[in-house]
Formats: sequence, C-alpha cells, structure tokens
Amino acid sequence: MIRLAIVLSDSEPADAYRSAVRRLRDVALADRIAESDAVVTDDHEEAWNAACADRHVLLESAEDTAGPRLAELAEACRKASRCFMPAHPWRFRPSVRAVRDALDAGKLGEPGLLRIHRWDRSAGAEDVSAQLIPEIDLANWFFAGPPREIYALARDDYLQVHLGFADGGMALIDHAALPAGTGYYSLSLIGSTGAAYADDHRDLQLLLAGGAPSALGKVEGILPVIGQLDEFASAIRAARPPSVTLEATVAALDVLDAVSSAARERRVSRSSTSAGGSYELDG
Amino acid sequence: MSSTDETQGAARPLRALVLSVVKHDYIPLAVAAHPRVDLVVVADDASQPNWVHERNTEFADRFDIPYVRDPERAIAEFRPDLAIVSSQAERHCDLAVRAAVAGLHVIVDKPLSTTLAQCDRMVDAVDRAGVKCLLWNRNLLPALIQARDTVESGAIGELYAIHCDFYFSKDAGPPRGSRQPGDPPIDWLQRQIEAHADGSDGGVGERPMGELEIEGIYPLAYIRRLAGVQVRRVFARTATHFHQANVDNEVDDLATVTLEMDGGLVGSLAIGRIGAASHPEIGEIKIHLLGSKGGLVISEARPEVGVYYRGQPPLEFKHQRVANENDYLLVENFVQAIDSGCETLLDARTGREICAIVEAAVRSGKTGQIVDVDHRPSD
Repeated sequence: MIRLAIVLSDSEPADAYRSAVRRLRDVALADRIAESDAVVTDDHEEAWNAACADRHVLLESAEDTAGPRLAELAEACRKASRCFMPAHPWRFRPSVRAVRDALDAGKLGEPGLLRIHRWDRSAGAEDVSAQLIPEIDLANWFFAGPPREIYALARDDYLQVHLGFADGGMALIDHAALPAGTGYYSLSLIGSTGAAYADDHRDLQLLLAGGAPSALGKVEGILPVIGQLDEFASAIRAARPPSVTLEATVAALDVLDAVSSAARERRVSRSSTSAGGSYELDG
Repeated sequence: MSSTDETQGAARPLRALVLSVVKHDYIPLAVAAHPRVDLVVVADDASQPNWVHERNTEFADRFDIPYVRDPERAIAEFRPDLAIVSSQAERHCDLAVRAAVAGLHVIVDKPLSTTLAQCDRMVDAVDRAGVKCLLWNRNLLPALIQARDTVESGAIGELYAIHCDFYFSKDAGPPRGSRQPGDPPIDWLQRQIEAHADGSDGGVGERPMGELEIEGIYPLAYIRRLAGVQVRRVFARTATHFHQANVDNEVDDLATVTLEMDGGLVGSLAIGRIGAASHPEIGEIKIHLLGSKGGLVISEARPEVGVYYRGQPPLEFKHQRVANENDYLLVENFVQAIDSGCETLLDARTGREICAIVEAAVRSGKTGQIVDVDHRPSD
C-alpha cells in the first residue's frame, strides 16, 4: 500500500487527487507527510523536505520551479532511491493517451505533423507563452526529442509556434484567448501510415435552448489526475523511472525560452546540435 | 463580343472551347452544366503525346463535339467566347495566354502556373486583351460561404489569425521506403498518368510538383478571401513523409507554413497528401479563425450525409457532401464577370499572388529561412 500525502495550495486539485486515490488499488491517503510514503505537492520547499525525508515526490507545477532547484530535488530523490516525477497531467488526458497509444502501437508510423489549437477561456494578463508548456512538452514527446528550428509570432493574448524536428517532423501550435465561456482544443497527429484526430469540433454536443445552437464541450474530469497518479504509483512499485522525468520538463522550458526569443525578435531560433536544444537566434 | 442580346432582352449562350482536358474534367463538366454555356469544341496541340489525345478525344466523344488538334484553328472555326484550360500544369499558362490573345475569356485549372514568370505573362496577357480570367477554386463551397458570412457579420470581431488544415487522404503510389536497391526512381509523369484512374493526378505533367504547388492554391485562396489581405512573409517546413514518388522526385508531400499578412494578421497552413488510410473521407480540411470577439471553426466538408451499407467498397467515401453549388456558383461568377465587366472571384492577378506565396514557401522549406513573398511591384 502506498500512502500518499497531498500538500497542494489549491483545494480544487487537492480534491481531484483525493478522488483519484479512491479510484486506485493499493493507494491510500495519508494525513501528514510523516505518515506517508509519497507526497504530491506544488510547493518546492515541501517537495525538498519530503525528498530529504526519503519520500517519493510528485511535483505539481514543476515548470514553475527553477531548473537548478528541480535538479536538486531529482538528485535528492535519486540518492534516496525514491521516485521523482514532475507532473505533466496533459500527457494523461484520455484524448492524448489515445493518440499516444496509437503511435506506440505503430498504427501511425513515423510522426510527421502535429497540429494543436488551444483556445482557452481567457489568457488574462498572464504571459500567454508560459501557458504553452503542455503543448511544447507534447510536441517534444510525440517527436521523441526537442525541435531543431523554432519560429513564433505573438500578440496580446495570442501566440503561434512553428517547430521543425529532426527527420522532417514539424509542429504548428497556436494558443489564443477567447471570451469567457467554453474553450476549444484540437490536436491532430499525422504519421507516415496513419493519423489521429483529437478534436473538440467532433466532440461538441449541441444545446438548443432558443437562439443559435450552443455547443457543450467535452469533459475529461479527473481522468488525467487518475492516469498520472497511477503512473506515479506504478513507478514506485516497480522501482523504475516514471514515464515523465525531469529532463522532459527542462526540455520544454528550454524550447519555451527559445519560442519567446523567436517571437520577440521575429527570427528563427535554431539548435546548435542535431538532437535539438541549445538554441540561438539566426543572425 | 457582346454576351447579351439586347434585342431579345436575353443573354445569349456562351460558346466554350475545352483547351485540353487531361487533368480535371470536372471543370469543363461544371461549365457545361451551366445553362448559359455550351461546349462547342475540344482542342489541343498536335505535338502532345498520345495519352493526351486519348483523354481529349474521350471527352469530346462524350459530348459529341469535335476534337481539333490545333487550338488556333479551333478558335477560328468555332468562334468560342471562352476557353477552359485543364492541361498539364506546366502548360496552363501557355494555353491560357494563347486563348486570351485570341480574345477569349479563360477559366484555368489550378495552379495558375508553376513559375512566377509565367504567371506574370498570364496577368499581362489578360490585362492587354481585356478578357476575364477565373482560376478554379473552392471558395464557394457552402462551408466557405458560411465562414465568410460569419466573419463579415462581425460575430468574431476583427479577424487577427487564420489557420487552415488541408490534408488530402489520398495515396500517391508506393509508400516511402518501398524502393528496392537497383530499382529505378519512379517517373513522375508515369505515376500521374496511372493516378488518373482514382482522380489523384493533380500534379500531372513532366515537371514534378509538391503538394504545396499542387493543392496549396485551395487553402491559400480560402485565406485570401476570408482575410482580404496579402501574405508578405512566410516560414515553412517541408518534407517527403509518405510517398516514394515524392522522395524520388524531391518534392514535398507534407508542409507547414507560417503566414505573416498585411495589417498584422497572422496565420498558418498545414498541407499534405497523407495517404488513404489516414482519414475516412477525402481528408481533414478545416479552417480556424480568431477575432477580437471570438473564434470560428469550420469543417470544409459540411454539410454531409453519412451512407453506410453492406458490401460498401472500402474506398467509397461514407460521407457525401450535399448542397454543394461551388461549381455552378463559380461559373455563374465567371459569366456575370463577362456580362458586367466586373472582376471574377479569383482572377489572374490573385492567382499570381497565391503562386508567389507557394513559391516563397517552397524556398523557405528548402532553405530553412524566413522568406519575403515576391509580389508584383504594382500589387
């Protein structure tokens, strides 16, 4: 039995994790870190304390933690033979999992083109580029590595990103704010022998209540949390690295830095290595 | 030549010359279906290979009209008002210019041409002759009309971004990686001739063409019509991802293009010939538009009716497009342009503009650089 302590600043995700624990075998809630085997937290100090106390750590909002601090956490867990997993819940969304499973099963062949439209309720005053970590990480994940070329265009509450990967792979991602209400998400992955389309346009239901029809968006609920927690628990039991590691978070952050530079300067940012990473702007 | 009979108050029928029909017979078929137009003759150059003459003859026989192996003689004898050009892509311009010089209005299959120099020649010829030119397009599909009406209504506010996915789920011969050691490279023209049977021969001609060149005109025409401004700069990635013929002939079958337009508008195009297995219908063709007040997502295929039955051939599309008047509306637009002197929906000048975007994107894909679009100086 894995005893999990939940130390999150926001009650909504905390409730989601409590509900997720009830859906899993051999995982139970612990009231305090001292009584736990593992901790899920969005506080890097709590994470550090948990790692030093030989707890497995699932770190929410890992992208908000500075790179060196993340590395320290990961190292502390490694030395204690404990699991460290940055939370990338977007990888565990049912629609994303279906695409990934098709790719892993060989149904899609070699990935060629990833297209994502992410239109949120409202980007507000926040830096819209910082919110793009999930989509950047998905692109890195589907193409098994970071891009070699990056171009981006930005304006208030809008960002579009164009990525070129080794072996000719490419991705187009746009992130926009919409007026308050239901957002929109569309992801399609075109491979050499097949394609997968996870598209809100297909998944919307109609509401006819006078006036023009309204669309009801799809609901994935806490399934991403369940999937992520299940992976965390499985990695602990099997004493193996989790499917999401520090390297993935760091790679996504590196690409995001390059995206911001490319958008600011309206120049292509290019990797100095054939494997991607270490970006410099074209002269 | 006046297209209206003022004595009788009725517009006279327009006589059409089918000036090579080796590619898409749906264009002369669409013209023939319009009540104002009569097909009177098919013509092509005598020097063309036998397969060209065979296709021209078959079409002529279908309509019980003559096939003349001399376009200028056909024009002199049959006195058409307009010409419909659906030849190999590299001949579009030459044939269309000859028709325009002879005073014929012209409908041209896409692309306008494979080179900007030829496009300029076409624009100049049309201008000098004072004739009308229509580049065949899909801008009057019901979904595109709905998109334009919605944008123009202001429902999404001021447009600032437009993205188009244009994937044709068609095969193009053997898959990439299938060539065995010692096998010769796939001959482009021969492959296209074979592809005529299933209608996937959009690139028919001697010169190999990538998907950007073959089909790019359609989504770029959508963007042009909906955005209403020119594309000035592009960044593209291109690849040969699916088909051995594209690998052997070094032309793309998959491309992504970032578009920077006048007025700060931005957008993108994702285009590919992705293989028949990769979509249940003809392909995923969608337009995403963003404005100051909201977004709009358009599936180009709709409205559709789903038809499924026992024994249905695997390659038969299970969703049939309905209420599609694109063909009639395009020809009607062309006829009205002839009657009234107004411009067509997609004229030679705009066709040249689109070819310039394609040319810039191909260059960007090859060089990995951002490329300025080479527009005509007067545009």
